[in-house]
Amino acid sequence: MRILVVEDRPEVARFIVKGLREELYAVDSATTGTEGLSMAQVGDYDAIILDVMLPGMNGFDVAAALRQRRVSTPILMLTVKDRVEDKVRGLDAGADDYLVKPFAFAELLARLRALLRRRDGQAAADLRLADLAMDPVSHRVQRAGKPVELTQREYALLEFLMRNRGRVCTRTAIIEHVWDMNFDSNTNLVDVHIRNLRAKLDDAFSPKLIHTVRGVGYVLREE
Amino acid sequence: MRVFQLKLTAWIAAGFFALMLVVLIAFNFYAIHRILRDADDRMETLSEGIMAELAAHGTPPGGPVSPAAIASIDGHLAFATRHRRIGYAIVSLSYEVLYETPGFSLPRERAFLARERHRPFIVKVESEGHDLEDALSEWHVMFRCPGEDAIVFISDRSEYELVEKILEGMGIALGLAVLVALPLGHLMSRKVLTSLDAIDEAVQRLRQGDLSARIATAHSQDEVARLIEALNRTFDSLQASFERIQRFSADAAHELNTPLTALRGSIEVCLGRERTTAEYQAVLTECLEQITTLSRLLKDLLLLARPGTAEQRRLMAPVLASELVEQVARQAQAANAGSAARVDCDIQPDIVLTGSEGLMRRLCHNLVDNAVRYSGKAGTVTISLRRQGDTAVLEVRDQGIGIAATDLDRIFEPFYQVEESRSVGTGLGLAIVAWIVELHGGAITVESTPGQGTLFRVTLPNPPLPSA
Repeated sequence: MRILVVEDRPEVARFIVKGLREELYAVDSATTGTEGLSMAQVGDYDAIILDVMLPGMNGFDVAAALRQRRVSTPILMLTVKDRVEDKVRGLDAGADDYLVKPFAFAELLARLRALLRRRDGQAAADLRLADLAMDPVSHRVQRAGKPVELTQREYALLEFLMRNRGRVCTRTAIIEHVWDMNFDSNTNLVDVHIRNLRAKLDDAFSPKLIHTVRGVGYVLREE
Repeated sequence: MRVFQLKLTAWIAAGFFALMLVVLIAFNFYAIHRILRDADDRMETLSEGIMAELAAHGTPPGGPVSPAAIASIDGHLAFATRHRRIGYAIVSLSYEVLYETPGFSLPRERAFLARERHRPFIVKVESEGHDLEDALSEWHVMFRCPGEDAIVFISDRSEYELVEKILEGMGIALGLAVLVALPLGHLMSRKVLTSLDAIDEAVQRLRQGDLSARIATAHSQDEVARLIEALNRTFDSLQASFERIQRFSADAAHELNTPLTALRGSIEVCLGRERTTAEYQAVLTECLEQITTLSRLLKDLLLLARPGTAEQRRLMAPVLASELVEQVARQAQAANAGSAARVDCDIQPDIVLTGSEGLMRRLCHNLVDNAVRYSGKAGTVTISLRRQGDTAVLEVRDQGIGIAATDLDRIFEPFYQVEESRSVGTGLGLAIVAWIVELHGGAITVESTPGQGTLFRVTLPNPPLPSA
């Protein structure tokens, strides 16, 4: 899952980016409203964490501009303004959720997960397919009731495929949602990680869940 | 409020009544005085006529007055006075009453008969109901005219009727005054109290936190209107400073929030998993930085929030400004040894200012520090201090990035930071400078050309040097 963090204060941006990366999200960051707006339009993000007090263009305007340009990426607004009218203004401008600074990092993560869940039209907190289950909170994965140990990147890759189960994911889409911007997409790293994932999830179990769609990419489905 | 209105009504009514009383008494006194003077002339003529008739009839002194003499006197009087009701008495020089108009009873006391007055006077006559005319009052305007053979007392009741009518009029007027005074007092007290009610209402609203409450003003120029205007102006400035404080604390909360958010977030993220010692050290160092920022911000906030300008002024003492500015300049140079910015000084010696040394150092330091920080790599910061008339002028000039004209007006506002300087400093530096300058009774101006540099000029009052 790839997240855009728009925050002008470096000391705040630093820990959010670090914390999110440790939670296996791919994270990009912007320090001004205009930069954030253009990145959100170009990149394919799963969610945007948007500060309100930004130099140049404030968070309300960024959210409104994104919605006007038909970008429907979930937006979580961060602000010190805790008055009702500010929250109303933020939500009406197009934000999906609102978090007042200073906040507990655990709450930021929970709200982010809720946003992603809602976007996927999914009610339960954990992700399931056949006898494969994964818990986005504890990052634990089970196949047929047995725990499966995954690396961070493998987990992120599986989560992306899981959230898009039944849909074919191209290598480019996988690269964009699982790796940061700075990543060079010309390597065959996706294939390497898919192979590792198959070895841990599919080889000892049936039915096979990870399928290759020749010339396009990969899909996670029961059949 | 009601009790006060009652009191006020009573006072106004009493005042009005007293005024009416004085006016009426003065008027009546004058009117009666005039009437008596006129009576004086008239009755003197009449009594001289009576004397002449008596003399003509040869009435012997001490003897009874002959009926012929009375007849001719009465004829004379009837002709001279027509409708006037005149009574008279003739008294011998030994004060025996020789003749009285029937029904006219002159007081018989010797003291009365012997009085020396040759003036009209008002006398109360003891009557038994057989007066000249019963309906008339028992009071008379009387005149005593001493002659050679006899004394004539003459009384004119018509004159008294006038006096009586005037007195009666005065009574009525006083009654009317009472009737007018009460509603008048009520009206006037209401008018005064309407203003008081308006003040009361506004104060109530203010107390309930509605700072925009003002007292409705009447279109007059009286003391109450002036008081209301003064109160409203006070409320205006109170509201303005309250809003300033509100804005200031909102901004302060915001500024404090950022380092707090960073602190909390960094620690939470760090505690999220096991880490190497190096990682913990890095996070702790970062937290320490945030705490330093926080405490610097708090110190600045406390400085600005310090109350009691008067107290600050009381503690002021002579400060050797030349030396102080030079020290600050040297420190700035030392602190920025790494940067290529040069600090030049042009300081007149022996300038002594009255002020707080700590605050003046702070003022100087903030300006110089800003100048060095925004000077870029190779700029020169010029600090000059010189005497100019009865002021001292401190100038800090840099060759840095400059300040856009749109920002110039606002740079002295707390927490106002131009884009380029965000996340450097607390945003309070220049606000503190402006506050210190104001405290010392000085003025600060700023000139800037973006890309070329900025000049801050502080003018402080400089008392003339005491002769050494």
